[in-house]
Amino acid sequence: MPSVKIYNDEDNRTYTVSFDLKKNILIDGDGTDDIYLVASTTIRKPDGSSFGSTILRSLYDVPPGSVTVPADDFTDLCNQWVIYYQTAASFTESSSSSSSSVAYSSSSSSSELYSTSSSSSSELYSTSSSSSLTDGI
Amino acid sequence: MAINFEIYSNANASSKSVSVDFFSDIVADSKQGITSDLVYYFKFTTGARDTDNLAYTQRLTRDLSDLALNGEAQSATNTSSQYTNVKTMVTDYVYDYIHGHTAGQFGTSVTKKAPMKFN
Repeated sequence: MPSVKIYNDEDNRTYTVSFDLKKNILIDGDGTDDIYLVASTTIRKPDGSSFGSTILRSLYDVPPGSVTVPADDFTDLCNQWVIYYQTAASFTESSSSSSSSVAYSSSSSSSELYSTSSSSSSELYSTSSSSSLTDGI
Repeated sequence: MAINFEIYSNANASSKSVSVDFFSDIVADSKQGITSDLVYYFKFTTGARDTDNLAYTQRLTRDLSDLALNGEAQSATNTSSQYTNVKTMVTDYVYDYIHGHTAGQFGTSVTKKAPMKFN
């Protein structure tokens, strides 16, 4: 199970984002075994509540507000969720590296727009619709 | 967590298994080259052999367009469409392990792979 560690310098804590492979009959499936990834994180929302876990069946299961739909591949899909959890939790990053940079801005409607830039793609998504997460089974 | 598929042959009263798991690593292969970028991928492995008594190499998939027949077609269905989800991808790869494929199957450039051996 791949797990990404994220050190948040603001609170001096290390968080994880994990992607677990599962095979189960899902309540909203067709009655046969479903095979899927479950995205989960120890990162908390600003109000202290959990993000819960999210079932990822395909490359269309991108975070709320993502503009890269479907994701380019599994790497892009997972990276989108890693970025989403941090942004939705209001993590702050001010440094930039030669391969990526993160910029944040807030608008009057209190939604956040952010982008990551890499050598191959850029993504823009809003957290205003973040309530659509479903809990995993 | 890895998923194991037990494949039972009632004709031979024996079972073989295929495993698939999800990873995040720096992958050094002909497709990736030498890089420091992490890649998320599925890896299929089995200790079984085919009816030509040849072992199987591990198989990696990075996205739903990594079709079982050399990336050009699915194995169970004559289509070059990408898999619709993780389940159909895994199912098709397991099918390919069990049944193998002919050289150039479905007009692809795939080389022959014999069916899985159960005796």
